[in-house]
Amino acid sequence: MLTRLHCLSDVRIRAAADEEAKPVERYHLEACAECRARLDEVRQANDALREMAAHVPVPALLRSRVEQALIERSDRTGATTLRDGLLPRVRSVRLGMLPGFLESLGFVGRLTLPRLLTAGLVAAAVLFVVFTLPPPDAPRILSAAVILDRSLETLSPVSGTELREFDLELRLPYIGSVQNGTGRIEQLVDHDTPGRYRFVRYAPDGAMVAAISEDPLAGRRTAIVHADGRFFRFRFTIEAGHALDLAELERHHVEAAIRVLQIVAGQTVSEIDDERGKRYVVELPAAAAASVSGLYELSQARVVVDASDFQILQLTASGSYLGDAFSISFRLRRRQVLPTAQVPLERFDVPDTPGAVTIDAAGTEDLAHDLLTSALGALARSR
Amino acid sequence: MGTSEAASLVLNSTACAVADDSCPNEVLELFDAYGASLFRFARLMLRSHADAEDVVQSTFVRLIDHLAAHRLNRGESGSNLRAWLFTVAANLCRDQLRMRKRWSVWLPEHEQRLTAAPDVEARDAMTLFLTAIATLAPRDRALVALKAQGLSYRDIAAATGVRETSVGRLLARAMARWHRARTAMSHT
Repeated sequence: MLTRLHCLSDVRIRAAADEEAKPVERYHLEACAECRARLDEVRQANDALREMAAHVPVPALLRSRVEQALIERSDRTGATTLRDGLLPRVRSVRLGMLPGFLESLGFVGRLTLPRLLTAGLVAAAVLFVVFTLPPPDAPRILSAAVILDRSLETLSPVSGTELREFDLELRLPYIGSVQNGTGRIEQLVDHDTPGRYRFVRYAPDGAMVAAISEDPLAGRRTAIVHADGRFFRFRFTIEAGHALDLAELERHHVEAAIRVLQIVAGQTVSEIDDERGKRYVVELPAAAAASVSGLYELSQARVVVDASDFQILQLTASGSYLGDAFSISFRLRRRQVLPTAQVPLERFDVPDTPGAVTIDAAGTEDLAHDLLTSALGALARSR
Repeated sequence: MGTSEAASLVLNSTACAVADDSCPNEVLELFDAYGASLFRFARLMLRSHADAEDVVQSTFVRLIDHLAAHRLNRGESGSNLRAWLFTVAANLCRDQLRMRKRWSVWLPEHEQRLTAAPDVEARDAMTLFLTAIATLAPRDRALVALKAQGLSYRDIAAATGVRETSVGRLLARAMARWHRARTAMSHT
């Protein structure tokens, strides 16, 4: 039997605290007050560890997510084929809609039209990856141009309601400091009803930062802005012809962004093959830095595409506009299309924000204008 | 409200329409038993809730195949399944860390922002706890995170790939490092 002359080592004390001690060690601990004191100390550390770990918050919806993953795994039906056909034509973008577009993502800051355009282009370079490339009867060799071409082919809306979630890291020079940084974007778009959507932006801790929804069927548009520690909820009534189709606008931006990426030279394509499957990497190395019109410089870009279903999984890009550095990082987390009939109507309204200051007004196509004038109107009425 | 709520609400309407074979209650029961613990383990290993969610989801998807492969061996104990789940989750966490290193082109300032101890937020106990854990090397982090979930040395050995006889020694060192990191951060 161990005696006081054979006190336990720190490792064996640790083992005892972890209920892994040998019988002879337990006998010693009963007899040795000094070792028992050391044991208590280690147990306290264990308790502190367990207690803190037990308070790591678990997402309430994790079970639903796992359940759905199990369902999807069972429902997997294989790939579809890549559509034949011409590339979509590039349509003009209505610049007057850009403020609304950026506002919809929660961008609030020093907004002027040229700066908005810049930020819009940069944001669009990110947003194009929320679209997916359909699984094609893939050729054996894919060039960057082919991959980007096919990304254009995917921009035609699908039928049904599409849910997308993606992480977005932004460092853009002309948007508010609050909105720069990491966040998660959730987009719900009803492709069967133009202008019916909900976009929500969340902070990394899961707290909602901003949201906008529009439902022409209900004649409403709602925007939520968080400022000075409280939420402001703008409820606009909209009439036919005043719809603001952010999803469609986003699609135009995506097309424009892909065109930008297509005209820069020096992209490379490589393949990654690991336990997750094969992926294509379209990359613009730093050495091939590209300039567009001398204003917009792309110093690095990288797109990762899942070769099995051609979903674009990640994008990072950095560069400058008028000398101001920007960087973006995107990661697609989820994309799903469901029959619209299965989506509850309330899903197309913004989340509840108890205690929010609510402002009601009539809406137009110009969201930024509506937000400003309705806020000023509310301010005037309160005085 | 979390970012996945809309998805879940949307999906809830379809979930029940799926036949039992496609929605194995057995796996969901195991999720109820071990899901939270697995998530907490993964959260300590990784930097974000989102990555931890991915790991938990992948773990339970793989569990279907595991259960199917052992369908005839109904004698597999809950303890063994628990060890299997943590082993798979630990491997997925390692994959996540490797994948990030391999081809996530995070910019230097991005990396710095994610790893640096945020002075202000470190006042928060949970932030301090997570930040201190994050300073550990991956193996130390795994040992501490598995211990925090109450795993035995045997199960920790299986999940981390170290010999069972070495777990105590390595865990003692890892705990000491974590304690030092926590103490140092609490003084800054």
